[in-house]
Amino acid sequence: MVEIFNNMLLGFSVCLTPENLFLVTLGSIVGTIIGMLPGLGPATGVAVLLPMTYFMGPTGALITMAGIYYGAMFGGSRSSILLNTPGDGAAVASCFDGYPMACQGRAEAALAISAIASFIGGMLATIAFVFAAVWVARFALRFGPAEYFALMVFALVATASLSKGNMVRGFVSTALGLMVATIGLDGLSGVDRYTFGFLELQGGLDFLIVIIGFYALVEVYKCADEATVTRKIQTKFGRIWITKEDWKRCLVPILRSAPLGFFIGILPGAGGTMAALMAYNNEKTLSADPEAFGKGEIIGLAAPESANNACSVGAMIPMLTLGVPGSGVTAVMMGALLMLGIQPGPTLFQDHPTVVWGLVASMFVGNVVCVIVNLPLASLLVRVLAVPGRILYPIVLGLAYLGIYAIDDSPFTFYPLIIFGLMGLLLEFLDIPTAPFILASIVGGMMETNFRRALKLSDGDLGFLTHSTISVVLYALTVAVVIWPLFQAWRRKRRQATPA
Amino acid sequence: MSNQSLLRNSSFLAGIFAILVGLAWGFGSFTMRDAALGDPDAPRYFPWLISALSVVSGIVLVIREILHPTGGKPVRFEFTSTYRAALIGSVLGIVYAQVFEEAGFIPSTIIFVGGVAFAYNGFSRWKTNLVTAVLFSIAVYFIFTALGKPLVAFPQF
Repeated sequence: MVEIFNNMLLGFSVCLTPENLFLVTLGSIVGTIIGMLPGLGPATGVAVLLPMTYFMGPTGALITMAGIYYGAMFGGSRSSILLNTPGDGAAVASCFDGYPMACQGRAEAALAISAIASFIGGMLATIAFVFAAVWVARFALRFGPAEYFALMVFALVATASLSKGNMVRGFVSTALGLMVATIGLDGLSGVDRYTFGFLELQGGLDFLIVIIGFYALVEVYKCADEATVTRKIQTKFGRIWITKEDWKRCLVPILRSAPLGFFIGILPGAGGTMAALMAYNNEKTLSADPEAFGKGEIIGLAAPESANNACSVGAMIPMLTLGVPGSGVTAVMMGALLMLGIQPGPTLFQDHPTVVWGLVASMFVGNVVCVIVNLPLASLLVRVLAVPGRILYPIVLGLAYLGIYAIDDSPFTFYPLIIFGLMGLLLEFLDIPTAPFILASIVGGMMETNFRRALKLSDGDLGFLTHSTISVVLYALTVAVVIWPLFQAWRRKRRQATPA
Repeated sequence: MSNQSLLRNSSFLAGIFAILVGLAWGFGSFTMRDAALGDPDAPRYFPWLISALSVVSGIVLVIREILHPTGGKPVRFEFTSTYRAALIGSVLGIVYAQVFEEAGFIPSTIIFVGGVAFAYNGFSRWKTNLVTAVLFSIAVYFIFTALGKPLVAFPQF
């Protein structure tokens, strides 16, 4: 306890320097703005704004990114409420009651409760993060190559099995992502793999190219329709606040949804969409008047907002402590960390305490900044939504290309970016989920290295797979996440077959 | 299920796609040279595993859709505004990559962003398109320079 308290003091001493305070504020504001743009959302926002951090030190870069992340999570619901167009999947549930509230002339209350619920959810989750992350990081110090391999198998299988209800297509996506991870010189033997004669590919493909291609390019292409380019929006509001009555009704659902969101965030692949939808359904089930949901019920907005912000904090745990990102946005952040020469994982807390605890403190500060930005300044910020798409989307596309150029100063990287943009559309056309692809392209390299190291340590004996209890538990969990959806589907079918 | 409906079934098409890509990736591994030390096939094992995962998943999808069609999301072969934007954006991206170093940052970025803006807004809004492209290019040039990443603004003869 004392150790955690000391670490937090260290974190706040880092975060509250004028420079870092400015960075977290800047990140929160820019993140809120980009997060509220329809179709873009947090992952695209963080990916496109990443070049902003190339010129900073690791602590400043991470603090800025965290600010962008929280800002984008806060901002994501603005377009759900005002345009009925979610900034990303996690903000889908905010459309259900947020947009009807705006249509009924209660946009101010909707904007206020979404910011308040996000703030409370984010704060509670950050407190939980402080304790959970330390524990997980300590536990993860017991991991060797075999355990890491098992963990990555679990993360990939869980992501595939949880994606859009079709596990097999999730596996296809995983395989495609792993293929991308094998491009370049093999780290252990120095053999050229799938470089197609291009010297530029020998260092492998930076996964930020995959992420920006999949998120930024695809989303901008999808926004090319006339309706999005020429949309109109309400930009004048009264006082953005809620009544005492609304507050009393929403407090318990907000407090109930935060732990749920936090727990879902820790699971690889589950993500904010699932957290928000589960919180929404939960509140609907518990409500005395479930019929009101979907028609402008304020609780239907408060609960998912609290859950998805708590989820965004929870998702940082596997990324920082185990080096396995649990969501698209944390994948982008992990990419940025690696680019800064910091390897996420259990030793991160020992090797870079200033960076980690500075980041944790910035979560608290970022939440406060975000609630300030999203309450008194909300009416000012939502004017960004009035910027015509015809100006906005070409600029976002330009930023995406230049962000990639900033990685290694070569326009050659534009080619793979174009390919991944088209590939993202192809996967969508074939209804193949993209989350497993992205996760696989990131952890694929580490997964192979750990597999081959473990194999070497055991003199080529595949028995290393089951030699430790941790590995066995992880494989058992892997089997469980495969069987569970199949069992649920079977049970559903049986229920349908036997009428009551 | 008829062949016609299978060709509009996203699960079936995803299965065919996975099989083809998996096979190509697996066969591609045979073009790699052997590892100089240790097991000569060591760099190929992982690609083989991936290839197998892709092919097996693809076969499962194809067989499942033939025997018990779940339908999948029906595929619509329409040239929507999204595909139009993707096509134009990709062509302009290739042009951008080709001219970036020769033409310099500002002209090449004006061509790229301006081209995309014309694709989104048409020629009737040519002033907006040009102003967006020029201002964006100049602003980013100065931001990059200020942040310590100097770019070549114009072609150097």
